[in-house]
Amino acid sequence: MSAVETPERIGHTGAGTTNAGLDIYGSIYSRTMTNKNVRIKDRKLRANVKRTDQRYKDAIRAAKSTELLLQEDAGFLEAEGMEKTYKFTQDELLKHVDVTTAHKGFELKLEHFGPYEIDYMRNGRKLLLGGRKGHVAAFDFREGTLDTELHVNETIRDVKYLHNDQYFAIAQKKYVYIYDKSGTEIHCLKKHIEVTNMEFLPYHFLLATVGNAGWLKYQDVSTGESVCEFRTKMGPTTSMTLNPYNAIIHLGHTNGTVSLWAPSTSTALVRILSHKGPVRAISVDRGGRYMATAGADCQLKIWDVRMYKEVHAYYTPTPPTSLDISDRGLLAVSWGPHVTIWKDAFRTKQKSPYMTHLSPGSTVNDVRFCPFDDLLGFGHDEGFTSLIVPGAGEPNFDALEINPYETLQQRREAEVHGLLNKLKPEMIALDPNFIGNVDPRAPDERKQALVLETTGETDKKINDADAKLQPKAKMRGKNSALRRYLRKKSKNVIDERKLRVEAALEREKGMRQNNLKRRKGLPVEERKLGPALARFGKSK
Amino acid sequence: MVTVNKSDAKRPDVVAKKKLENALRQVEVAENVDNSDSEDSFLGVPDDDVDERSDGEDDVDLDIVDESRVLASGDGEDDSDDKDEPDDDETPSFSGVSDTEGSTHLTTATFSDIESDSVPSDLEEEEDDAMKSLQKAIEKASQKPAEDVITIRKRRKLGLPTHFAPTVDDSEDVMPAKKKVTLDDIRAHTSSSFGTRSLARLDELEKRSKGKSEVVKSRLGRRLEVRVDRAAAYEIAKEEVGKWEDTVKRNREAEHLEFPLQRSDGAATADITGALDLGDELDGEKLVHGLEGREFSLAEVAARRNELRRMRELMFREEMKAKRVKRIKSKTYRKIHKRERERAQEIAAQLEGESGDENNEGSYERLVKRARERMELRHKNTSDWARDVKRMNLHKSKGTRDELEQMLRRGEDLVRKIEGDDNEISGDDLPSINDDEEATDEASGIMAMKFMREAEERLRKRNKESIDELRRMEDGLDGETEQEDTDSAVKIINEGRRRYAPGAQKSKEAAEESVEQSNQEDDAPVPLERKMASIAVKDAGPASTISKKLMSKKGEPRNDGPKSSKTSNPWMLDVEPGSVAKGASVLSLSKESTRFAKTEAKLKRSLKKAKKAVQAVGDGEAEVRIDINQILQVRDVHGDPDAGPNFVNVEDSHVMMVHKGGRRAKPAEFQQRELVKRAFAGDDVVREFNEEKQRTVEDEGDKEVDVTLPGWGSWTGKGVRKPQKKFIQKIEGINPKNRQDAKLKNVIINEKAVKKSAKYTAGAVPFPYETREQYERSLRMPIGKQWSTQTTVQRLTKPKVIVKPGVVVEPLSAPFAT
Repeated sequence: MSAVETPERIGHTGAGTTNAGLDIYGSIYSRTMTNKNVRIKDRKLRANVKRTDQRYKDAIRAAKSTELLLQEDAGFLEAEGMEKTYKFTQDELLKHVDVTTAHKGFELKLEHFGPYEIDYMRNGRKLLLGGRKGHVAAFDFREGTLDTELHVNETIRDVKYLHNDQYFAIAQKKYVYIYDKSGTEIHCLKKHIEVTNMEFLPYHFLLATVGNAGWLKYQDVSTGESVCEFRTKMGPTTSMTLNPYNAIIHLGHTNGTVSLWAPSTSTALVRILSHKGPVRAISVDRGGRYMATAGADCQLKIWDVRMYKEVHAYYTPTPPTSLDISDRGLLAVSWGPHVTIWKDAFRTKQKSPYMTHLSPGSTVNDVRFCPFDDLLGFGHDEGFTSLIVPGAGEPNFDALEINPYETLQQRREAEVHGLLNKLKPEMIALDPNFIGNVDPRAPDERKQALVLETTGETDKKINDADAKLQPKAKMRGKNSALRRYLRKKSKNVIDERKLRVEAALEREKGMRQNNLKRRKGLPVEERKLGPALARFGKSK
Repeated sequence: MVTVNKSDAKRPDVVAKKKLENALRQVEVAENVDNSDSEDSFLGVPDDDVDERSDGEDDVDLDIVDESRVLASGDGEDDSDDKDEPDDDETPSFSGVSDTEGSTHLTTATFSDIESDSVPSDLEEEEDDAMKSLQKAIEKASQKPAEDVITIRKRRKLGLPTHFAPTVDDSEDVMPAKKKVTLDDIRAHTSSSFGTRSLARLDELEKRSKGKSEVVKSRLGRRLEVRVDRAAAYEIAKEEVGKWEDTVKRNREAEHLEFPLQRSDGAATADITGALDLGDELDGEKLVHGLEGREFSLAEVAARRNELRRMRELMFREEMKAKRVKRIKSKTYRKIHKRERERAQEIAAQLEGESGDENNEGSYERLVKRARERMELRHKNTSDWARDVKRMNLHKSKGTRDELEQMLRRGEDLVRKIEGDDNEISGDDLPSINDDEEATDEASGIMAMKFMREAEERLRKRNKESIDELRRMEDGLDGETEQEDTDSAVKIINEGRRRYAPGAQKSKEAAEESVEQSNQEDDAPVPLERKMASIAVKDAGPASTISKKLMSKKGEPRNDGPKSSKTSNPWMLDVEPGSVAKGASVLSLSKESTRFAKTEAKLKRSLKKAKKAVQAVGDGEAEVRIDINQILQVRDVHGDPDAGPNFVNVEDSHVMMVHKGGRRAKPAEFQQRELVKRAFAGDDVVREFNEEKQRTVEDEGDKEVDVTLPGWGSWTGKGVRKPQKKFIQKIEGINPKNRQDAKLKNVIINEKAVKKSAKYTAGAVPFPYETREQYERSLRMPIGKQWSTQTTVQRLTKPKVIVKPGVVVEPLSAPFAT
């Protein structure tokens, strides 16, 4: 008997681990750091550091205590006796799940315009389909309401929702186009040519595209500016994914390498030789710890992206076409007409998959887990299918972050908030916590980097010796009390004091000039009468 | 003192000269003094005048004058010391010098101290006086507490000159207060005509003022006096300020300061209560007594009365307000005010808690309790919607009623989930069944369910107990009831809720087992057969005649789901092998299956017929099983027909995507992989990658640039020296050994990355921190509400100083004073 733990736990009001036994440092809330307890001499600082630590502990404890409010547990399929979870078919599952969940497992027969690329909105409400032959549909699959459906009449290579359901981007035959919810074409991004893959960076409002030409381009969708363009120098890019943890873009190339990119650097941050054939698909887990790559050499490899070490390798009977990792760490692999789902495939090498599915007669093109729901959608040659995968989605959502039930007002506010909190492209780095840290570089090196940043000059090197030779342009003594007085005084008012001040300034000027002349050895016009008698002399 | 003399002895003549000049000037001033001037000014003031004048003329002069004055006073002290020891009659060298020039004595009118030193005759005359003063000084010194004496060290600390006086008190005593300088004294030393003239004038002055006042005792130099005063004042002030130290320290170290710092309500309430007490006895005799006893002034009494009047007025107003409020009938008003009151109570409770030790825990527990309450209330009838439904009689429509019911059910589920045990349903509401036989016989439908049975069992037990107890009471033995309670399986934690303590649970199980055993005793030799039979019988339906207890035990897991399988899962123990057996037509046992299972399988074969009968009866459960079999059969047909009983067929391993050493690899698969291998045979990506890595390492490593100027030193011909070495500049890069990817295979890490992030980093460790780690640790906790709980965010963003709006912040009053 198959046991779906409890029917109501499937669906997004279902699931969330409560690690009750963990101490605070082992919990997911802790931010590990070198905890060197070096005795601090300064009493004030010591107290300060101690207090900060205490606050940190309290914060973790508080965060952990809120788990009490998460009523939902994650539930996976459980097999009993000789049963195997991968033997359960969708039909069987449908019998045991509640009606609402059962409704979400559906199939769309779209035979004419496939194979389909798919994309879920970040909150899992909307689904965007793009058929290779030009069919686009955006709809709320729970409600069954259609936002838009259109035919672009040319090849579609990828589809992507932007920050909310109001806009989506489609990589068409030549350019990338942005449409709004009603299907109106808003922008044509002519700089993005022959794009095959797109990713959207929600916190940076960047649309990253890469295509057959091998150019990675970042476009700011809030301002419309093109942020940067990099040549990968590795030919056509075959796959692309976004690391949700640090917003690094992972690209898969035909030579089997995976390269990591950030807008701040024009060369790849890291290159990993992962496969012996083209990298067909990449996916990174939510925590940014593991990367799964699938190559045309029929290998599926799991990488530790922080250490850049291969963890496990699996093989597929035929080259995989697509990969995706769910919020709760399920890995979906599509190969041929099969979709295989793996549980706990990262830490330990699994012997058998968690679930399998076969869509006879149509090759699977694109698999995606639906956020906040126990669903796996995949686009294939003959349309779209939504599978029920118990335990796939994160059951407890943070409504302040991504709200699956957001209202119109909330959506608008979230958009404004998102724009106000928009991160700069330069903030993307392998370690996203670098901001505010101390620069490890030497001061002069750092200074040079800063100058380069501000001036935008990339090639010019500042030579220290040259800098030393430069005479300092000092302009001293320009200001004085008298001058300031004159400056502050309104121009059109002439009073006694002003006259006096002006005269004094004049006198000073004369004296200065005389001094200068004397220093240069020039003849100085001396007052013949001397200071006492001068007043009786000829007035100027 | 000796050292001072030595140091000044270097230039005694100069000093003396200056002193003389100064003195002369003084006399001149004295001459100019108006008659109206008192003797005070005559004696004391000229110092300043001299200073002012000399300021205009010569600074050096002034300095020396000052010094001479100081020295003079020092000498005076010296002399007083000398007077202690009569045998040491020698005058110090300096005074000796001044003696030699007789004319200086003219001036001593203003410098009584100098004067006193320089007159040896006076010394003898007034030896008695000196002795007296000395005695007095000694007395004083002995009387005064040690701390009042300002030592030299202290003086040094205060910035006062230390060289002229060991103690201030001494100087006070040394000051010749008793010695009144008369004109005769001066006259005795004057010789010049100038002096006589001025003396004559002084005479006149003296005569004129003689009738009016006595001669005021002379004082120290004003500056010294002021200094001494300052020092004393400083001591007092220091002590006074020191009292604040704790307060200031506390405030400075405080994380947050909330103004007003001293809570006024405590004081205010004290005031009120005090006033009220008095108010009760107002106009009574007690008050009068009190007043008599303490002798209040009239004003105080008036003030008191006013205050009392005010208090009474306030009370009256409060009363009136209460009356008015009492009359308000608005429910909303009541509701709002109730909430406010509760909040106030809560705050009060919190404050109370804060004073106690268990503040945090208590509040935390309260919070948790509250959270739990709210969770449990979530799906109750209490929501607005539910209430609306009830109010508007919407529950008559079926849809709404269903929803309502569903909600309630969900609420129950949740509560149960929170409690963590589905089986804990108290059987209190069940009808009581007294007779064992009756219960067992009539059990059917819902009564056949496990929990119902358990409840019955419990009830029965309790009844039995109570009966026993009654009997015992009849016998007069009722002291042992408590013991009975603890022994029983059911442990009552609080009324209304029933829980099983782990120990109790065990004992309960044991009890049940024993009951079971007693039922099964005769079955013991052949348990397996018996089990199988029981399954068969159970599936056959309620018509069976086998012991009901056993049956209920076996029947329970089906209704219970996975939860119940935790402790003692009969499904796992008994039925599982059974199910295997059922599927035997299509499945065989795996290698791992235990001997137990095998023997059981044998037994199963013998029971085949019985089972067939069971399936023929065919209740719902059996149907499900058959379904599974069918599915499995279908699988087998699809997968590999000749695989026979092997469950894990080739298709499965295919699906598995896991390398299994190629043992199971089928030719087709092998071909596929071979094909792939062949497809990528041309491009040696590994080699290419390694080459690239090498290139990168070289690129980013040390570089040598030839900066030799072209053509430089390339002359040729006879006698030309060999050109110098090439000029090679070395540009430091990254050492290949220190690269991040040095030990990583198949990875190239760009060492030059992240140039643009300089503006988001700190150039140096900011001030209070000493190391980078300390600073970065302080950044570890993000403050925003996205990462922390609301309370944490509030605590982290709480300002250092909080001033309650609309409150006058009084200056700190000294807490130690009250």
